[in-house]
Amino acid sequence: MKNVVEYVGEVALFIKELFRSIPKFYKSFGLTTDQIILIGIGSLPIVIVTNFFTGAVTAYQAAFQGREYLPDVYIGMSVIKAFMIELGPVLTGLIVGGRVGSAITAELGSMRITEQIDALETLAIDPVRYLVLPRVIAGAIVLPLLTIIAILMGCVGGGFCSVLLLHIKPIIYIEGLKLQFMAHELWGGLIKAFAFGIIIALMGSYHGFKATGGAEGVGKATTRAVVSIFILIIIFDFIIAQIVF
Amino acid sequence: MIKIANLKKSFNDNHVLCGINLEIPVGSTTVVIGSSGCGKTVLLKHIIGLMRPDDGKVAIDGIEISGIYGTGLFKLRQRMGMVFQGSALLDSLTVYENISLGLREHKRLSKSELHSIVKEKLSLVHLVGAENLMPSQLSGGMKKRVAIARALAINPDYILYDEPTTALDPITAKKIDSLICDLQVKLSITTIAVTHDLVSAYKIGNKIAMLAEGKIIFEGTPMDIKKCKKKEIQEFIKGRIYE
Repeated sequence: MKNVVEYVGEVALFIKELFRSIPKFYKSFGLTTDQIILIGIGSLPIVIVTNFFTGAVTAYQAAFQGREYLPDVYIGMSVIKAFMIELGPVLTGLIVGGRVGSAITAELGSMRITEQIDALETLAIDPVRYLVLPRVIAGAIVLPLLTIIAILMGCVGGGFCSVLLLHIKPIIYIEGLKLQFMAHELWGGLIKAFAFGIIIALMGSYHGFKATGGAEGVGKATTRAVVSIFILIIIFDFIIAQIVF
Repeated sequence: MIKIANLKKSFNDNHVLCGINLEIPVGSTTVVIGSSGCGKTVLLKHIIGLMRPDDGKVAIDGIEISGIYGTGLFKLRQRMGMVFQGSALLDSLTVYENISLGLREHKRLSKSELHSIVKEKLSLVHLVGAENLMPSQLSGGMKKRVAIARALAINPDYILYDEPTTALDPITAKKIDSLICDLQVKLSITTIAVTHDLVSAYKIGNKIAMLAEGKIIFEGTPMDIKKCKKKEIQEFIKGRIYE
């Protein structure tokens, strides 16, 4: 219990440091655009592939469960609903969390154990402002954008499955998508993605900053980061769903 | 001047510094020697404010570094440079970007001004032409030189070296020693080095302090330490254990 309280306290102090660095964000503008490209473009292929096939399997499962007693339009409706409020943001969060969160921890952890973070401090550069703030802002911007792509790819994947495997007319599938497209649900999904982006960059950076003891320490920090990111994404998914929907 | 008074630091039950008192005079080189793990790097990290003492104080020109945070601390650090044991170059940046990092952050300089400062610092460390290399392309000695150039880029009043010759071959170590001496003479910069390399300490130090069991047990010139009869000092400088 003491460890949990300590952990939460340390993360809270880290967030406080992050807030303190925000007024000097203008100095990190270039670094932020670099991170946006790194996180966004780098994650694009995996987000596209994963969501395409998840969309396909969602359509297939929807048909498997209800095609006998529900109209075909129901398949498009279930795909878009699932992707806008849940699958799009959560799947993207977990994929990017695993890919980017671990990379951030490994990079910053290596910098910590090779004294590069200390070197920044001796150059009178705030390492939180230089290393963490650009990643957190990039995460907050990129995750909603990736989620839009994820929703789109889910619907495309669902469409392919519906038309090619389930032999539903494209117009009926599209009609289903239109029927269940609700702007407030899209916004809700994007709010989730925004929060997940912050969680991924923040927890990845925190564990990297706290890495100790050489390569083994960086490995352990990376594992802890990914576990904490996944748990927090699931918890915040529930909390935001309660508030928004 | 740097004044260290009654500095204490422990990590759990390990009492690393147990009341250090030391004065570092301006414009000369002070070398802190001691065996591996005796707390030399911990002392250096207290001087630049990377660690906070459990008790005691470190004052830089009258400003107590352990008592300031945020902007005040960063301002004070702009007057200091540190060369880390493993050089600690940012491995995602080129040599040019590493050296100019502090300048880009703190001063509004044009590209040509930045370029001329980086070139000047690289020539001081005899590494002209290495601007576009990545740290992974440099040898240990070259990394050390770039780290020195980076520390010098902001024209600090104080420069701190953590084991400047560790892990270098004897010839490269000698070159780094000569470089530290040259820079001290050319720039009249107050230099503090910690090392267990006595050849290096004798060469670069105007003053030598020996750290053992968390305390400074000797202060004097290189000549004085050679003459000192204290058993633990003789053991350390001669590399023998007297029963």
